[in-house]
Amino acid sequence: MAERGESSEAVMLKKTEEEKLRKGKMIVGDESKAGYEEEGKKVKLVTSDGVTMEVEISIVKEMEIIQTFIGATDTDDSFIFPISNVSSHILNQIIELVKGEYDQELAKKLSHDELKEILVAANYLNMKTLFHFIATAIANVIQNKSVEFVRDFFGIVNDFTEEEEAELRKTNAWAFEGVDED
Amino acid sequence: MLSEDVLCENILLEILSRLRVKSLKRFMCVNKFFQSLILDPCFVTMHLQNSRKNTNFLLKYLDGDKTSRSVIAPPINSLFEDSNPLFLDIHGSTLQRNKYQVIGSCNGLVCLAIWRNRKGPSMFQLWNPATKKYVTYPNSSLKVFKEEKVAMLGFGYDNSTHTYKVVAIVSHMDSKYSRSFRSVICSLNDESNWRDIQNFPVNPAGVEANGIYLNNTINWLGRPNSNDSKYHSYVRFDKVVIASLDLETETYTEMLLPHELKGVFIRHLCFPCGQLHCNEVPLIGVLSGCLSLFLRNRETRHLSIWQIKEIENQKSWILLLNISFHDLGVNTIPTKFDHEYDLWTTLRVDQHFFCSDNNLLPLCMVENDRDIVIIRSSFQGHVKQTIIYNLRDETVIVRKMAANLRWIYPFDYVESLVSPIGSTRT
Repeated sequence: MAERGESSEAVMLKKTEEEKLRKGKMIVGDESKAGYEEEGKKVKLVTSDGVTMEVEISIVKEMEIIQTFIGATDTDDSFIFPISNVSSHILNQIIELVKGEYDQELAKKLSHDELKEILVAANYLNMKTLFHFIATAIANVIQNKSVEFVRDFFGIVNDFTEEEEAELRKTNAWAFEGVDED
Repeated sequence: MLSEDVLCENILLEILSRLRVKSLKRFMCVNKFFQSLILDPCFVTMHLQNSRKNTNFLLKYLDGDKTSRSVIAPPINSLFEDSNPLFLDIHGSTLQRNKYQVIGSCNGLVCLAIWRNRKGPSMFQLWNPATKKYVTYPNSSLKVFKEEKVAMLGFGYDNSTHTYKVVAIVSHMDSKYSRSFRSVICSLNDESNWRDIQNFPVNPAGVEANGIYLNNTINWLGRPNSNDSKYHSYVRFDKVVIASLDLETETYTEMLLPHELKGVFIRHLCFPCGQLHCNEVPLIGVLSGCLSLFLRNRETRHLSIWQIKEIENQKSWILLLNISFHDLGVNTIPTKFDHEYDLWTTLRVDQHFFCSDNNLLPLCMVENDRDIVIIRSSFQGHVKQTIIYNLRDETVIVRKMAANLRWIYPFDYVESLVSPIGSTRT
């Protein structure tokens, strides 16, 4: 709940800033018309699997890495941005999450691999709201799970000896009570 | 020792810092890398910052036969769920002694005073309920003179020296000295010596008045010293002030309360001296990071919450809520009481709140800044109901609570990995 409240605030802040920027750039003309044109505008992104996707500007605006780029160069519609670390599948998932206004119910439908990949993508694209949202979603998945589940989830090799692990488990025995089934 | 598809350290920290302490204690077994991440002091701080978004509250949980009591810290969100989730996860810590009083909490540490006799606490403990670690400060025994007794206590964290400090306001039983209140401070570290600081600038405001910690200050309600005010027939609330102790400089400032906010006058909240019931004692607390004043009026049957947005900025007072008991779904608040208390008679601070029945107290404001959780308690802090009031929709949800829960004031507790040993830098 907390996360959602923060997210929507962050998005709203961002929108106001964008609006200021847009208005600042405008020289003459009808503001509402300019706004409308901006709304429908799409940006072409090429994913790691070579797919060119047209993504709505409102979503691209959350990708700070691309925003920086757009700001630095004078671009037109034909410009294509390569996002070499993100697959088309993951980009589609990201679009769904942003459109769905970061609903934790949507995150529950994602597989563990998808969650991890989206988190890495959000980090790479510098999408702050998405990043915090997915980090929270992953924390919710592992919150009450066993140590074995977490090793499996992150693909981690246990480097404790049996004795070391047994000792650690003994020290914090209370933390191992009431854990969910994997 | 991570396989190739594993997330980098920074990303992993973001996930781990959102977990509860119990999960982190378990995940220290995942591997050596996880263990080192979780033990890192930087991570402890990062986790605390995230933890602040999820307010927990402290409750005492009594066994069926009341022989054993544990303290549990359920998250506030559990009050919103339909089931009775408080019982799913009772991993509370059983306290070592019964004669303790919770003074306050900050950074996930709870300060306990151990009382040996009625004059004052004999010892202080710092306790982390989440990690179950506690430390007793044996040198923290407070020695008062024969004619003195401890009227009020306070606990806080001094950011400037990274020290946890306990403050005691001491009153003198001899009427000649009755208007001077000594205040003494003790840093909870290896030395733990009590030192006299500036006298408490006002008269302590009586019952169950532990200081409220906020932004490096400890705050108490008080009444300005005047010659005959004790014998006035009326207690004037518009004379009440907040005395605020800066933990860095160890000096007090006084803040006046506003006379009126949006048509609610503080002077309307006055009753003949000696007839003021403890349910009507003004209290301060923290809601959404702001110092708040809780006022309850038996005649207008209203609960009022006033908030000062910036400490020491008199113009930043707002009226957060002014609502009738009826609109809160409470129709049985008594207007006549068996026991009356004189608010201004500084009584010994008891372990239990002095309320007899049907007290209404704002517990906290939920992170969404929309819901206020108000608890309704009866004798000795037994939580009867929690009332969740939605400020935006003006709706009320009432939840009944289990009979073996006792609430602990003040409430703003957050889980942390912070160690109670020494003045750990956080």
